[in-house]
Amino acid sequence: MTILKGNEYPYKFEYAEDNVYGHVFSLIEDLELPKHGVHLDIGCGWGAISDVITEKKQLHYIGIDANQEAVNHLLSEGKEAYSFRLTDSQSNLEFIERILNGRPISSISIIDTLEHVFYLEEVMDTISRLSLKYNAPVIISVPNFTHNDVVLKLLCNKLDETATGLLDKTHVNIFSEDRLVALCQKYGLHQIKQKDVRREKSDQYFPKELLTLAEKSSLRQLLLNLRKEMDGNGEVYQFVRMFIASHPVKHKYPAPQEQRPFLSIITRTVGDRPEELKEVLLCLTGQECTDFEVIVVGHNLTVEKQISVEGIINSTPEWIRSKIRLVRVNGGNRSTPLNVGFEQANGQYITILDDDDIVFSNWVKEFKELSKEHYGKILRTVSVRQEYDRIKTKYSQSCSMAVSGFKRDYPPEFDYFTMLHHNQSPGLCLAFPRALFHDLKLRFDESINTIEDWDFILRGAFICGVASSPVVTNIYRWWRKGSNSQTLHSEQEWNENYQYVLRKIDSRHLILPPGSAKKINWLVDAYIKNAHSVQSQNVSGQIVNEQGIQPTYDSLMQKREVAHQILASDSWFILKPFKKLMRIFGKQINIPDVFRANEKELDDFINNVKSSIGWKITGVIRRIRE
Amino acid sequence: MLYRKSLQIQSVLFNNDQQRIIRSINSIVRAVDFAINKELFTKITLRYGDGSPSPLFSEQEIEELNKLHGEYVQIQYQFFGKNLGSARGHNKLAEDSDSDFIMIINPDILLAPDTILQLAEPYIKSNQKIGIVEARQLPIEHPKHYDTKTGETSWASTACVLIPRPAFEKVEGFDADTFFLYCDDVDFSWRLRLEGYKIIYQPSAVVFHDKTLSNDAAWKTSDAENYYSAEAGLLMAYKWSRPDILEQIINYFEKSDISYYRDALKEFNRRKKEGRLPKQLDTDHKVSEFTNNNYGKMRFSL
Repeated sequence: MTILKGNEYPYKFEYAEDNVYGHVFSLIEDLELPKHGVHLDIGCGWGAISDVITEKKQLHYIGIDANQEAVNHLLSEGKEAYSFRLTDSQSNLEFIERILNGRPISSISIIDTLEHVFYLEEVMDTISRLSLKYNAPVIISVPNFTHNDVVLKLLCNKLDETATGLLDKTHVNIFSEDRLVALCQKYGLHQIKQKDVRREKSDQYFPKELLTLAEKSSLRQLLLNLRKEMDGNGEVYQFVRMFIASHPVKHKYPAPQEQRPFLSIITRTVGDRPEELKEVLLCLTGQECTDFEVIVVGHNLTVEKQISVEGIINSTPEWIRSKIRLVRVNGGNRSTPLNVGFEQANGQYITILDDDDIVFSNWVKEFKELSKEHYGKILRTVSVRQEYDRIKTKYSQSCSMAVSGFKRDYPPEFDYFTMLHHNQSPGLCLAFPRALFHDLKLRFDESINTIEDWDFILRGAFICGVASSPVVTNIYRWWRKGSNSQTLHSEQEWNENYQYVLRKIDSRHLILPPGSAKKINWLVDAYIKNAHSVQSQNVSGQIVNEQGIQPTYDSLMQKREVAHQILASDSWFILKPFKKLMRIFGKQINIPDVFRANEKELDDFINNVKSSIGWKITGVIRRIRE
Repeated sequence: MLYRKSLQIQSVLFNNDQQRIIRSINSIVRAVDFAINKELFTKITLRYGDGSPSPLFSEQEIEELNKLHGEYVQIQYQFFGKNLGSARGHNKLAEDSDSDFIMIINPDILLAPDTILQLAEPYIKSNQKIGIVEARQLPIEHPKHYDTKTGETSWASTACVLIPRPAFEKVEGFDADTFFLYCDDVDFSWRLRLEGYKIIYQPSAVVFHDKTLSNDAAWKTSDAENYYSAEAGLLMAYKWSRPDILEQIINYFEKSDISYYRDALKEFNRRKKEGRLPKQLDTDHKVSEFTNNNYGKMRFSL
């Protein structure tokens, strides 16, 4: 922070290669600008770039500033400079043309000035007109109001003005990157180069004991990690951008939510499953809720396959055809089309529906219903898995045939802790809030070619949380032979990617939802006490521990424990040879995956086993062991 | 050879949601456009028979639909005035036309753009006597077995089928006196097979038939479905000369405390007493298939 005496001019800054002036100059250094032209430095201050402009670019430097002391300084150095306070565009232009007196402008700079001007839009209009008239590039620099230090202090209600710097007390305009670019585009100034000034810690890095600033506090690390992923601007001190004037871009204010479709559906295709793609679009035609758009992302499509995919899209009824866009992507891996598709998505939520998935008519509707109560969370409904073969009869095209019933492989609720171990949610059972991708800038990791969805879900789930509905809305098609991602990659690749994703998530601070403390408490409790061996059943069938106190975790975990005990017991082992026989007599007992099974499956399993003749017979063995 | 034929697409309505029917019409129009473009059919009529207590469409609404889609398909609507059931309803709709082919669909079914083309393929490619070609339903695929080389199957579900009129007339349509809502299609298929026709399942002809699963991933059925499928089970076993199966079902229903089983059995006994049971067929069991409580082999259970 600079300490100023009385009315001393505060902006006596020197040129340095690594400060804003050096960055400004580096942007025009390589340009072959018209000889004998003028470099117009609006808001020139102490004229830090005047020497390099004159000496290295051999342009004639003219500085303009509202401060007479700054102008006098430049005049004393033999530079051309004028005192002028920027006002309406016409007056600005008249003044500038008068001082130019017929000399052409080669380049314009307006360094750390826009944040001070009262007539911002008028000034933008002025520089745009000058740039257009003289075909002169404009270099603009403004302080970044979204620097980490400012943002992290605002979280603690701190807004400290200083004499100069990011929050200079004389600033009347503030800028983020988006605001600067949008403002320039509105006046036809299109960005062509950039060289921002970065400072990890700015003049706003105080007081250092603030927990959002204190270097090693978990809160700071969590927030910095989020912001690091969000964009590269957290450490940008000043945006330094070069623009050139052309036609203006129609100014759009951020779209209110109601103007967005509820759901963007991203459908990846490499064009080799035309029948299944047709079926996907047919399922979408049958949606009860039609508040969606579809982005078919054609990945590495040959011309023939592109024509085929376009044909499938174009053949759909008009009402749905108008909702579908084909976006082509070449190169990259499985993550690439997802990133491109998500980037193009306009929906409030975004989901993945691959070109061989099947959805019920309630798929979109259930997401939308869930969002009403849980807006901002990742939305999760339930997938069932069904096995398929590819067939071709003598009359049909090559197409699919279901060969199994519906397998309830995926639990009705999202479990954060299980999710840290393995993915229980196929992409099509989830809808992600658009902000996760568009604002927090989470991306599918293009360095891995498998489990890219697990990686994305993990990172997203601990930021947004997940709202679950037990309603079955879709079928995850599982090809018995051929092209599941599970079969296309080696076990080694899977394992390497698994460890990579795990390391990545393990290196972060995680936000856990309410209820997590009890779950962790129970898990640690069970681990410490080796609860497998100490639990027993009381007369009413409730599970109690040694002290007769019910464990603090929910009944689902209790039932998992009982099922685990059964499966780990000697009785279950002894019964194995009889199980085939039991099936013959229609007494089949479905053995659940204890880790994934839902409460009903566990109930069914426990009740069936305990009511079975075999279990009663082997009771003797259990009693002996006890 | 199927070329420039006439087609009637027909559906029986009962208290359906009008918007769903209109959405179905939109999909039909698209599929019709492709079928006409390929010159498989020249004249296509879409005919609805409404058994609802009050009409689902007014004359004006049908007129507007015809204005919108008349270029492709002529939409006709008949209010039956009473619930005839699907079998009698379809017989009536078929009788009132003379189209070369009849396509039967459920009212809310959605066709893929090429569904009609795909359904027509077996008639184009084969010289065999084909009585019915069935489309594949999504999202819940019917689990019945079919030959993955020939497409032949035991029977065709009439959620969406294409039938040549001569075949329909040869077996005098559906047995509406016996079946009200369920198994009319199984019975129809088996009678076609008795006459030497083949039943073809065409997996690349797909339709969306709006069905959802319960939260425990089970097939959801309505009370009416439960009752009429139980009643049809008894009648099928009787009609298709399987006294052994019939006895098993009767025993099971008698012991059951499920009300629709007992009601179905009462209705069967009433018909028996009144001499209203159908004529028995296929006494040497050449066609009928009763396997594990299903009408034919299943690929999997739902």
